[in-house]
Amino acid sequence: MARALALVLLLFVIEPSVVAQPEEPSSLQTAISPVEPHLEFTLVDPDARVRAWQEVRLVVTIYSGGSPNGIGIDSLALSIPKSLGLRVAGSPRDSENVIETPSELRTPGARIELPPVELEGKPLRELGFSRVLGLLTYRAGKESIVAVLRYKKLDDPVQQIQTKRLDLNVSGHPFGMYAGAIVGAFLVGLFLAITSRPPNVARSFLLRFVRGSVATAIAVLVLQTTSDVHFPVTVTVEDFYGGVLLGLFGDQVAQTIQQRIGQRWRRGRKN
Amino acid sequence: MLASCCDDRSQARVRDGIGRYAIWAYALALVWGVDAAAAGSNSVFCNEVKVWFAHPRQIEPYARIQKLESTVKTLDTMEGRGCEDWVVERARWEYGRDLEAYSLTFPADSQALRSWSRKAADAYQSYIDWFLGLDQERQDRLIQSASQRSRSSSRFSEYRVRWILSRVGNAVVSLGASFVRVRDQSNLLVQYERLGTSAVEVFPEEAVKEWHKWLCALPDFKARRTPREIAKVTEEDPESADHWSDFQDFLERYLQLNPSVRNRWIPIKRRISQWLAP
Repeated sequence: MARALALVLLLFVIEPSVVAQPEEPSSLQTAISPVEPHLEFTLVDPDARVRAWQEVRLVVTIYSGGSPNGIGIDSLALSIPKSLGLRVAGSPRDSENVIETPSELRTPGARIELPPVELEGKPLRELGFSRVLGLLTYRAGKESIVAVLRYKKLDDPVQQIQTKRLDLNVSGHPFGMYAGAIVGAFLVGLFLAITSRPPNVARSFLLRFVRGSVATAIAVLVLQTTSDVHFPVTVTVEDFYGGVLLGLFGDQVAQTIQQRIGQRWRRGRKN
Repeated sequence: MLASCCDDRSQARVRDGIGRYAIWAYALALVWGVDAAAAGSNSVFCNEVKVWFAHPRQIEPYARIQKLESTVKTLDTMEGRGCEDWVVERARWEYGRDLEAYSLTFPADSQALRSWSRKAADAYQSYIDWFLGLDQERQDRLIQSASQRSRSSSRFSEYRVRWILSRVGNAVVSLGASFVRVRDQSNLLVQYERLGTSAVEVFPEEAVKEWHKWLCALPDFKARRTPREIAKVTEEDPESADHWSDFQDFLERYLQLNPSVRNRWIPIKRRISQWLAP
């Protein structure tokens, strides 16, 4: 009796594994189903900080998929948002950012890893005034670069398209912060010159503006160089608007520092 | 001055007239400007193609085909404006030739071989149609620039025939070969019949032999049968009779143009007449 019970229990234990077996063929079918040609597209250094109008390096790999005679690559181009002010290094003005010229991958399952693709900031003359203004006032945000692969399966030479999107967290160009600092210092200088009405308005405005700009530029520089240092309290300036905010207080801070240094200097002279 | 000699109404008429002329002149300038700009960009493209032909770089066959394909497409959109005929001819001819060569890099009986051969056939067909669409003056100018033979030369007409047979005739032969590779011999017959009715001069004897061969391969057509049996087959199958009838008409014109091959084809022509006789 005990033996019979043990046998029944054993059967119950074995049964799930027996029932699970038929699932195998379906997973196998998924693995061997024909694979379409596709792309892989990432940053060379995934942790690299991407900034508008500043060079960035990408790595692209093309897979031929399961087509029996392989594929012919007609072109591989990057669609880059204009707001980033970037282009494929060396590509001519107003051209499509083509990074791969026609070639073929004859074997199924083959792949080509292209040499790193470098994106560079467009030259100033190509950007124009409005675009430069847009890049200086660029607000940090998410942007997408799309790689467009035009190819033909060699069995059926009809052009097809595969796209791959790369989402990037992009921050503003460092020049944007300095430009913001100057604007902030300008606004404060103007405001104080108008409201406090000193005897020499122009001189007072110019002094406050230059002092505020220089002080804020120093502050931005210090904040940028120490951005990687982990202080208990950290202040980060990301873009143009952060620069403006600093610029608004730049003159006041410079004045305070100037007074303190002046007092010490006078005390030193007396002693 | 105007005020002293004319009344207000005639002044207004003059003003209206000037205004109308100004609008017309502006519109004409605009059209001319747009046209000139298009011609300018066309000639830039054409010069690029000429440079590419003059200094061919060693590139992969696939890349070359892509380049030729885009060149031919652009030349099509230009419709012959801003580019000499010899450039268009060379681009179209090389496109067909390269497609055919590329198709042969695939294993026999593969789908890829058939697909690329189909493309080659389309390219050759388009090349032949383009050439036959040119008037004789343009054809002569093209042959002169491609061969450096003067049109004023007394032997130009002889050279013209030879050039067409070797260049366009080559495309006709390759067109047929491409259809055979695609296993679409019926299209070979259709295309050869179409060309045969309008342009006998582009047929080299090799193409005529190929045409005859595939006619003989029509269903139920066996050379060993007696003329009466074959006549019955053609009578029962009007489509087959049409194919033979077109070939017979073609041979009539072909032999007038090529008397040197008369002896080879006269017996065949006579046999076809027997088969088609009611």
